[in-house]
Amino acid sequence: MKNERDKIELLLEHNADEQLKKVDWDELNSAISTKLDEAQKDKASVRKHPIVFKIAAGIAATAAVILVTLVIYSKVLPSESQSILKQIETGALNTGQLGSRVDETDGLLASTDPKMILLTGELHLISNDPLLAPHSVWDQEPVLKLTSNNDKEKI
Amino acid sequence: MGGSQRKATSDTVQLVRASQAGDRSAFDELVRIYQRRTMQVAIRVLGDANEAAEAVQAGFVKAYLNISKLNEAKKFEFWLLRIVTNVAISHARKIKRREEKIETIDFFEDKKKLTPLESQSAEELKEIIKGAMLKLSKKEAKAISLFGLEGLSHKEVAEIMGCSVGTVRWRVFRSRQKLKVLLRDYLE
Repeated sequence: MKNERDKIELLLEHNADEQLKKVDWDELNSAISTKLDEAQKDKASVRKHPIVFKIAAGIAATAAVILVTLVIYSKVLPSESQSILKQIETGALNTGQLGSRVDETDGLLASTDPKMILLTGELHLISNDPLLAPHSVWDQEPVLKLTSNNDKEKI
Repeated sequence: MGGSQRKATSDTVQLVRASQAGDRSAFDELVRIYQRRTMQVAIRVLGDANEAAEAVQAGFVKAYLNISKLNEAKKFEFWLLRIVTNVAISHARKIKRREEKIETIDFFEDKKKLTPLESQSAEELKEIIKGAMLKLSKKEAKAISLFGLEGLSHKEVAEIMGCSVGTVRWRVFRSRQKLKVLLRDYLE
């Protein structure tokens, strides 16, 4: 364990030593100096034109506030709409104009049950085309013609 | 020109105070004193002198721009090492992202045949260390890089990292465990 630890340290140190040999210290010093000059110039220009930078900072801050507001709204609104839907479901919220009602008094029209349709008054089921209503009660044979008394007795 | 390892603190304190007062030449002197030490730590993080030089330059600029915020002048070295280590680690993350985009072959798979340590050229070793360090977490990379740095006690490393000595030891242990696996072929 200790041996492996030492080897890792040795490896890291060996690499650091090898890499340090390649460093041109004068060049590095000069590069740092140049970067510091640039930083100093930037710092000085901020001090020289404080109003310009204050305005720029103000604009940036306003833009940031707008952006944050938009982000918040875009995240808040979907959750609000979900809570409204929940309230509608539980009846906690009166939907008012959003609601609708179908008033139907005619049993024939209102029913979707084929038995009900057959038992309510005269109805001529003349379609025997299986393509029109396949797999349904309408597709039954024989074609029903509820027009005579004899036919009614058959039923 | 490389700069002394750990110059007398009183000199440093005076130079730091002069720098805080706006004396650029004083800061240039601090650069000369600490450039070698900062390069050592940056190389330990990044494994490569060229990448380390970029991190060191950026680190010194950051230190220069913020030196007025340093309250205790005598702690300049720790403060500077913390800045340079953080910059180096950010730089390492950028390299990692850049290389992940390009990389199609796993580095370690590709280099497995190159063993042992004695047979490695400096360039190969650099690539091996660089690849391994990139696989550590930020905190682990920071801990192992500072831990082995000459002249820094465990307590001082903990101070630089802003955590307890125990935490530093744990992170160093974890990073060694990872490096042991990553570099197993080169440790034989």
